[in-house]
Amino acid sequence: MSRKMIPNEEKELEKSNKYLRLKNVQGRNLLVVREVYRRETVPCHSALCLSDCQPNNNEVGLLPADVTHYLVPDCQVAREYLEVLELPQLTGIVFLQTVAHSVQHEGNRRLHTRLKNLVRDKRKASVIFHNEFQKFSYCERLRGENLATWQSRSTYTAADWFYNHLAGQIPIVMVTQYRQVIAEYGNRQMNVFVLTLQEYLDTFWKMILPSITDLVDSITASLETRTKDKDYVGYLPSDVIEAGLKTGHYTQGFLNVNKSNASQEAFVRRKRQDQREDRDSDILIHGMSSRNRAVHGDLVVVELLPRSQWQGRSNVIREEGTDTKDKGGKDDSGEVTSVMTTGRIVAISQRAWREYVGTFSQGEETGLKGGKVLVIPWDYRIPKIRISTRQVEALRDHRIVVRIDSWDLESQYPNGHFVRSLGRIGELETEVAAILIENNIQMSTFSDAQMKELPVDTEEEPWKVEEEELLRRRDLRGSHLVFSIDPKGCEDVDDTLSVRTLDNGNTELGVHIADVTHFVKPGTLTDQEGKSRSTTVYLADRRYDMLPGILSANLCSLISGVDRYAVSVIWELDSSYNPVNVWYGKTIIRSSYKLFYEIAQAMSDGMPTHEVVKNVPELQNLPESDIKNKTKVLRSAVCRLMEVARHLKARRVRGGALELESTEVQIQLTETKSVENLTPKEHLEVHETIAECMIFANHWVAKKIAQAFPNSALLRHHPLPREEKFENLLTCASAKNYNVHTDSSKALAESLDTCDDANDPVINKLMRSLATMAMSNAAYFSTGALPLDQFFHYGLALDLYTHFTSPIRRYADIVVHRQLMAAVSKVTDTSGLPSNKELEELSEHINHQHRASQNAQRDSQELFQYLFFKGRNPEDECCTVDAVIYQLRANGVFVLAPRYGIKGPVYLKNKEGQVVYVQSDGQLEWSGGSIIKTDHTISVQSMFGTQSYRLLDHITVRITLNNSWAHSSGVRLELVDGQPHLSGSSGGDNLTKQQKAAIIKEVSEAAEEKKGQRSSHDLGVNFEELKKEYGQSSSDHNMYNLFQSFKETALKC
Amino acid sequence: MAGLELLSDQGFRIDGRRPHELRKIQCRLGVFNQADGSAYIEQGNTKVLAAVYGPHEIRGSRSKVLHDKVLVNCQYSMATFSTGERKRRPRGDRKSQEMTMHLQQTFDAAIQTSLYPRSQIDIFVEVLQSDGGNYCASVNASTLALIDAGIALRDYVCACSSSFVNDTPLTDINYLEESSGSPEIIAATLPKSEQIVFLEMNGRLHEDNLSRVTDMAVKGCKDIHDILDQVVRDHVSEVSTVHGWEN
Repeated sequence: MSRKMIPNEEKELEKSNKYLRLKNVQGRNLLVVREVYRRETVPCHSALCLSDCQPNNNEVGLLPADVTHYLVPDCQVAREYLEVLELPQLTGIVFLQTVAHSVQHEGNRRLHTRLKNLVRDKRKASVIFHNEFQKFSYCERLRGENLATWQSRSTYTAADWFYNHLAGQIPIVMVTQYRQVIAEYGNRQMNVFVLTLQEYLDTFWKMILPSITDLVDSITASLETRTKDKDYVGYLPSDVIEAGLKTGHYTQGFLNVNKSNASQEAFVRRKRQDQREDRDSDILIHGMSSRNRAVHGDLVVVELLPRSQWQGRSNVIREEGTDTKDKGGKDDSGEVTSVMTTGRIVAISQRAWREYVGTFSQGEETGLKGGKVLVIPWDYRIPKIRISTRQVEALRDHRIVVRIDSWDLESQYPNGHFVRSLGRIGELETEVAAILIENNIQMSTFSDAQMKELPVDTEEEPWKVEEEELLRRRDLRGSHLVFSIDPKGCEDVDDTLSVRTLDNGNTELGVHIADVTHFVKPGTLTDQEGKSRSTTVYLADRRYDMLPGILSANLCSLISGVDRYAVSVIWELDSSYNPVNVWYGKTIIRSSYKLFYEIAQAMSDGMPTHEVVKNVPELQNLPESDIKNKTKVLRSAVCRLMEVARHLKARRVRGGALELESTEVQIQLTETKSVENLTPKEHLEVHETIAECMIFANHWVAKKIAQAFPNSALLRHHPLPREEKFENLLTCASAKNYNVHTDSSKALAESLDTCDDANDPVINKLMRSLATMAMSNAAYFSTGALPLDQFFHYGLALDLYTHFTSPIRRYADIVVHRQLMAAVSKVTDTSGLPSNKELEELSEHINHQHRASQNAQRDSQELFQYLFFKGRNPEDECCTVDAVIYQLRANGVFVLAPRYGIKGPVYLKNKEGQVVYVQSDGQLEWSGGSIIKTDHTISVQSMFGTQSYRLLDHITVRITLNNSWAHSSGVRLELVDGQPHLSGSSGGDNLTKQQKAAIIKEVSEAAEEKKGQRSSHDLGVNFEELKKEYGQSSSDHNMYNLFQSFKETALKC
Repeated sequence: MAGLELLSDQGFRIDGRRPHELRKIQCRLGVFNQADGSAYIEQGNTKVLAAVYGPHEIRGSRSKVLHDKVLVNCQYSMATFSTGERKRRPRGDRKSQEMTMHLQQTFDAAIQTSLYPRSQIDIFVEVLQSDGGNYCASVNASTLALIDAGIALRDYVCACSSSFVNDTPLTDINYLEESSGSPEIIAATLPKSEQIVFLEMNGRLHEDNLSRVTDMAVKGCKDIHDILDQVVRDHVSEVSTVHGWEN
């Protein structure tokens, strides 16, 4: 092989390879080989140089000849103490290439730019010396040599070479922070000194620059705090994690950040752990560094810390999002609960990053280089996100959607990018869009392709019953009197009823549900869309349908007077109303009457016939004799139905069904109604009648499909509540000397009935709502996924339960319909039905969507609540209300204001640590003092005296606005008086409902101009839907309430 | 991560070269016995093998015959192990097809094609290791292989790339410099007559600087020519010594 060197070069270059381990874009390790050329003549940039190695350009500085020594900092010193080296007094510094590289790669770009500027500044007379390109000053990194050792070896070798190169004319000082380096190299060469920075400054500069040590000390101090605060650790490799999970060394679970203390506290709920056995299954993750870049919702792997490092969670009510760092982190012992299992996150199994709604901070200047800006997410639990955008000025008062892209080890905040803008902050549409995105609900209009699949029903082309369907279905049109009872103005009727006496004296009860599956075949686009939506979403002022309007409001709606397909469940009940026979199947029906609740109730209460006729359009315009006859038949059917339902319910209540009604839900239901300007109605018996029939139908359908598909039926269960959740309820009960038993649903139901204060109806409601909060969430599941003993429904006290009666607005019902039809048709072909595994995934998805839609609903109600109070003067009569204390905390209490159904904290101690005292004239005084909390009382001791508050006491609070720029705005409760509010709570439900109704009405009217017409229409339907959810059963309805309150408290406390 | 500093204030490139310095070139002729001509070249860490067959009869379809000149057939490929990440590189991918075309055009211009009518010359190029300047190394290797095969050329064809960083033209850029996003000019010249047979530019470069950067590339070609020429002379004298043709 012949070899030839590059011409025109006086000296030979030596080539060698440098091996680097890099990471590629996918994060895989990559071995990279780079060649390096070395030469003998690398300019030393020293005025003392004898060998004339200087370059001819004058751009770079020159080391002066008149200093006492040259300074060679090592990598760490250059990185961390660059500020010291930047002092104008320090000249003659030689930055080695090794050092400059380390500053560039281990430090950051800004630091490197500072270093380059320092070298360019000729007054500093400092240079970069390319030691790695110099043949003799270079040392190769040995195999297995660690980076820091190699760096110091290179630094010393280069310093040594420099000294020799200048023929010993000037001493060299190398500064390093590593003691062992000093020990190793300190006395090798006479005039090459190795010192620590402190020693060096003390020796050379203390006389001239006394302030220099202070600077060094402050840098050192800040370095220490920085490393403690946000230095994240790299994640463990996946094989280690897998092995660790198997041996139980690590635990896996979802990260749940505490909303009110987002920067400090997060919890990991252990996954797949039998929760009844393991009560304290939550692991506390304390602080950002042990959270290690995980974001709320991620599936993380946790390593438990040794018991000595366990910490307690804070017991102080904090305002959402307030940072507690300035408090020094040390809470008083009274403000922290006893220690709980604490861990740190070592790896992330799955990121749950989604789109986040965010806002640019209000006042911040954004002159950062590269256009990097911090975005504050709407959700308190999400850390700030760094994005780069040039549109900051234009979008300053907008809500924007951002996504997280990555979170680097060395970065305090995650990096993300801007997706789109939602609109200006404070506008109704923007806020509603934000709610939808935050709950991950995507609702677009139905596509043309989907609409094409659906049957048409227009003036020109009216929809007709198909002949072949007629043959296939049982025809109930002539034989049964079918009618529906729904709220007034309801358009989509998905359940109808029939009742009659059979020849043998038994009663026949029929529940006929709209046959949605006839129109929505598995696998069609409409089915796909319905599956992904899973449920119709109701917001306070609008709704997003699961199925297109043609189905939900027309073809699937069992309107009176037209032929409709139905799926029926028909029981034969004996004289004591025990079912002796049950029939399931497809039918064709024609509803005779579309009644509404009030008229049905009135009929059973004996309303005169002419009044009835006035309210039932189907009875009008008929001959006199017909009217009498028909009214009589209808009246007896309604009465019969109520009679049957009464018995069914009684049987279920004996079995231990819970009645956990609370004011809230009723309020939520009535509020939509207000837009139509109806007076809120009381709770009628006929509501329960309908609900009971639906529960009955659901229960029997569940029985049927569970029997037919023991491994793949979609059911709904409601697990036992966790014992510790009842703690607050029990504490409250004992404050009033009530006995509450939580052993079983029956015991609970009975003992709740005894918690009644004749003078104070709110107490019973509050107790029930506390019990509701303790409940677990009901959920759909596949029978193949759980053991038999977990199928039961706790709240309804039924062994099997499912959802069957509302296929128009719940996807689960559609699946159940299909399963029921497959079960009764005796066709063995079950190919269209989901398998256990698919069903498991499906039920998870549906549960998730349900929760999301409930959260969205709650958020939108809070939004409207806020908008209502926004228009009020705080001194307004309606803003001062009575409230009941239901929980005590270290710095305040949680109260329920029954008038509006608002729950929230009332602070007795403000952020400055002052406590409140109510003067006799009603003035509030804030002063220094302390708060003592016992089981049932909390007493405030201030310089004015001591005041105490008991659990379940009434106090007066004022509702004020909690305005927020980046987050959702809400209402806040402030203490006005320790006494009950004078107007009292005697108004009861009615007043509450009216009040709430007024809220939404006012807000909607103010906010909606152009689409007023449409929205009122929507709201009407919306109300019906809600009512029907309620109509499922009173307890089931509580279930729904239960999610809400449960979520609410979980997020707030 | 801070960006790489392609050219330091002190005038060093990432790999320690100065702007006008080439990478180290090592090469050898006649590495295979079965081919009519072959050569191996290393330019820094870019390593290329070239083999030449011909001139011979047209293989395959007769319709390809050119009656007044030789058909130059090139095939360029990269070994799967040639880059940091092992990657399957099917022979027909767009990148190598383009490279094949470029090589063909280059050598059409350099071979005295009219001397071999109705025949074919095959040039096979395999990149064993890639570290920037694949085209240049391929051209240089092919030139040597053609010389080894004794095919009549107008002149050596030498190729060299150049770039432009911080107002300074850099010659013979490596992979890092290539992939940094700075402009790139690739030139293949006949160095003695200073004729350019192939010129390609990637990236954005201001017109005012074009001639400086092109000059740098052409200068690089000349330097490479000096090296290649020396290698060929050494090779010939070595071979003639072996065969006893010295006198």
